[in-house]
Parts: sequence; C-alpha cells; structure tokens
Amino acid sequence: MTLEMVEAGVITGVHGITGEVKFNPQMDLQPLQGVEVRLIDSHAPDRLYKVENARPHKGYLILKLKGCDTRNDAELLRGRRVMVPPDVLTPLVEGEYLIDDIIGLKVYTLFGDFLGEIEEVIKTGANDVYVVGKHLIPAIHDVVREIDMERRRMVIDPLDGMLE
Amino acid sequence: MSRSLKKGPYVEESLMKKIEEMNAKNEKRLVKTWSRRSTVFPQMIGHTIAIHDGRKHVPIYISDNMVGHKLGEFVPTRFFRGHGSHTERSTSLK
Repeated sequence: MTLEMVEAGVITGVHGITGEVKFNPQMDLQPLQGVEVRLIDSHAPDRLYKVENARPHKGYLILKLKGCDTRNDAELLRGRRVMVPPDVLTPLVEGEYLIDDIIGLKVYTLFGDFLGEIEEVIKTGANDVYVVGKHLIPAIHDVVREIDMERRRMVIDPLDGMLE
Repeated sequence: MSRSLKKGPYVEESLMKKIEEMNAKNEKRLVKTWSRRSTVFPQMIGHTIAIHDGRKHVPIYISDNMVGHKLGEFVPTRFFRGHGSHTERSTSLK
C-alpha cells in the first residue's frame, strides 16, 4: 500500500443524533469498518478519523467516525472531502482506469503525430469520450490502440474524418 | 401520443444514405450528424457517429443494444460538473 490517499467522495450531511455522517462515495469501495480516513477541507486542517461503522442507506453510506459522537460534532464535518487508502478501492479490472490517471496522458497517432494531452473525460450514454484539445476521441477499441500508463501515453488510430 | 406504425421509425435520410454507402463499400469513417431525433437502425451497428450536443460533435460507437433508441439519448446536452473535484472510475474501452 502506498501512503498516498485517494479522494473517494464528500460528506453531504448528518444522520441522526449520535454523530453519524452521510457520505456520498464517488467510487466503488470495499467495507470501510476499521479504516482510517482523512477528512480535508480548505477552511480547516486535515484530520484523520477511524471509521467505527459504515452502512449503506438510500444510495449513501452512513459513517460513524471515532471521536464524532454528537450531531453538533457531525455538523462540523459537512462538506468535507473524504480521502481513503488506495487498498480500500475495489480493484480495477484489466482495461479499466481511474479518470484521474487518464487525464494528462499524451496522445499520439499510429504514425507518431502528437495530438495533445487528455484534458477531460466525458461520460455519455454509450462510450466515454476523451477531450484532447479540440479533438474528441471515442474510448473504443477500434480507435484507442494502446494505453501505456508507465510512459503516460496513448496511441490512437483515428477514423477518417475524426481529426478534422 | 406515439408515432404511427404505418410510417415506421424516423431516420434522417442523408444520414442513412451515408451509412448505407459505407456498408456497401465495407468502410468505416466518422459521420457527423445534427439529427438527434434519428432512430438507431441495425445498419448503423459498428459505425461511429458524431452526434451534435449543441456545441460540438461527440463521437459515439453504435452497438446492438442501442437499436431502436434515438441518437440524442446517448449524448447529453447539459453537464453538471459538480462542486469540488471528484475522482471517478472510467469505464473500460468499448
């Protein structure tokens, strides 16, 4: 496990009167019981909390954090972003990448022409689309031929008319 | 009220013509369209169509489970970018 934590979502509110908080996770997580999470906020210093209990509730997770025992304590945590250790994330399957890792990849054509860096990933109702400057690259096997995370580069075989 | 069955599903003629031409020549290239209201036909499977979202043409790969839907359903015209930054999982290549 690396020491670097990953942002997994945000605390959107409080739940009940025993200091539980409502957490909106942005990624698939393994059970959080006993895990130390870091809560960060631009207006307050970072702080580590141990998760005593975590349970699903209406699409959210209800977290009970050690040291946060009243509703007033929980109110102070509203809006804080939750950083988790990377080993809590559900492992990625082959060919799946975190958007944060995809952004910044250098994109080349099969002929070695440099197109630019991936600036954004657009989620559509079908395939994802990578934004590379003014070009939109569909995330499909026909086009994306190689993703090399170590060298931070992607090789594409553009369809006719795609780079116009 | 749904569309009359007598008419059949709607598709922009020029778009369908380009798709049929590509199928006849067995070639693949990106086809741009503004016609979000066109229905996805089985002939379009395997082609990549750049569908207008009001600002740009977003390339969408047509797969078999999209048949019968409208092209516009797959390209949202509004984006909620959220507050703060979020790390999210990307889907694999399709």
